[in-house]
Amino acid sequence: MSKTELRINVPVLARVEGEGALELEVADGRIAALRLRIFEPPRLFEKFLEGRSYAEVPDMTARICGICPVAYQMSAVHAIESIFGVESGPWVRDMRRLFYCGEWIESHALHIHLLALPDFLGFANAPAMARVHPGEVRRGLHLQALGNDIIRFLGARSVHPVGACVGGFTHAPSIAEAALLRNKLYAALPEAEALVLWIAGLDMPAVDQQFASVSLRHPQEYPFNEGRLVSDAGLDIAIDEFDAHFTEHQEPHSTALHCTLHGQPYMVGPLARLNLNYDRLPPAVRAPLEATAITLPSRNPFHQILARAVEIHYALWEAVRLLDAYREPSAPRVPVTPRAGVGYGCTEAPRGILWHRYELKDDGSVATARIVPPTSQNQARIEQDLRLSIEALGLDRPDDELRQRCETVIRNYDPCISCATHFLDLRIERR
Amino acid sequence: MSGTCIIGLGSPHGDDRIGWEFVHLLENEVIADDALRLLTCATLGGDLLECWKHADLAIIIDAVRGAGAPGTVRRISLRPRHDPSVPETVRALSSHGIDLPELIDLAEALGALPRRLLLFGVEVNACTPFGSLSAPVRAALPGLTKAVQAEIAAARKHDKVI
Repeated sequence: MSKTELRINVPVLARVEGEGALELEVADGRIAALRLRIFEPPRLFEKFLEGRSYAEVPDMTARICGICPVAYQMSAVHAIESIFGVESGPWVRDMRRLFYCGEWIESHALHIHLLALPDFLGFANAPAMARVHPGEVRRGLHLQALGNDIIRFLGARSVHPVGACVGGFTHAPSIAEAALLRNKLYAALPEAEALVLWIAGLDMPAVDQQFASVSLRHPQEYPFNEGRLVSDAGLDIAIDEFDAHFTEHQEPHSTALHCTLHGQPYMVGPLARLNLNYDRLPPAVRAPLEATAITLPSRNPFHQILARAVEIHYALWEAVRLLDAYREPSAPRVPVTPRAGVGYGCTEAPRGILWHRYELKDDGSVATARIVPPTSQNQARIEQDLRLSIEALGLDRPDDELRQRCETVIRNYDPCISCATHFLDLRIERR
Repeated sequence: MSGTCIIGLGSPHGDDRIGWEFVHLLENEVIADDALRLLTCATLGGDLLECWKHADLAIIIDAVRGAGAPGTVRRISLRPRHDPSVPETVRALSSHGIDLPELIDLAEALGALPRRLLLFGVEVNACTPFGSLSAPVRAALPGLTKAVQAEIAAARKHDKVI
């Protein structure tokens, strides 16, 4: 019997948000075991939040992740406002969409240009790629900086922003600030369009996999903060019905909970959103994609990088639209009165749906909190994709090629360990 | 190339705030100085490259561990990673997405490196979630300020000589 053990260990690194390992065992030409282990900080935060005031929740949850703090704030404020019966009004609603545009742009641009693209273009890392494609990398970093500018516009700083609160925002930017930002974003629209066309032209592995896409869906808009939870397998539920269909469970090999839909893996994130909401994109954003040979819905998980580029284009377009209509409000937030209850928030983080449930006491302090982040939802799907991808590539391929494909598949989902997987140590035992 | 930029790397967690706290201190003291650009960040990317790309001198302030008592300040001159003189300890400083040595390599590839790049690393103690600076790390701030101001003054003198 031939047996290959492929062990990929990710060391714990300062300020790298996540720890992971991939264990792959091959016996008799078949995969005997495949386990992706991810440690996720949000599990600790659920306990941190107990006993804290509702007012602290947005700022505390923002610190779960340096890349998607806005998502944590948005799911939290919507859940808490649903308990207090708050209607925050059209200005707050628009600004929360704008805030999210910034986060998608910075997160997606970072992932495309510094993490994923070297895999697709055959470089060991981003600096090596930048020597050959300096213009494209400069463009990507410029887009990332624009995303940060949007977050700073409303949140004072781009990482762990502090502007969001229950009821709205702590501060309303001036008309002049809005006009300045609008013009910078408008000028970058051609860059985003060019990015979509460039990514669509990449030589990606031709893969056809069966998987369920899950995302929010709104009656009119491409989803950020509102909508029903839908899938391409017929799911169509309110966000408070999550527990009736999705099940979190512990796997012995991981400290992160796995989440399944009716017992099966599913995909969340940009490609799932695009598969389910393509008709919600404005014609100006659909146009460059329609000029390519790629059709949607796509069953090729490698199209996630393209979906990120499309969403950068959309988020820029939407941000310009929102800023064109910007008016200074009479107040940036509405007053709230705490009361006891249970509330739910589900918004579209860059990596997919981020579901929160809070039980608050009469004084607005947290009795219990539950946070289901996108990475844990994608975990079973990543394992499924790894299994299919490696079998399709051929288990007899050289170790380096297998490792490279494994890393590419994992990074493609932009999990919170994607940064750490640049440091994968590989130990291979063949017997 | 002209001017100096000061970059505080960190997070809101305990002693890991040191880079941010230092920049906030400068903001309050020398805000009128147009030749000085200040930036705080937790992740490395476009913002940082934009800030330092035309600078004569860029100074990064960050938390470090493992080479002294809390509050000890180390000055390290940074160059692209292929230079073997870059201390190995620098490579442990990483962030979500890209680490500092990789960002320096990236900046070099894009022609966006400042003329000189310095790291002032402050030995830290506990990076407690949401905590404030510990006493020994806070006590390092006056000395760090003097050292950084001396670097800025020397860079300006050099500019005038040129």
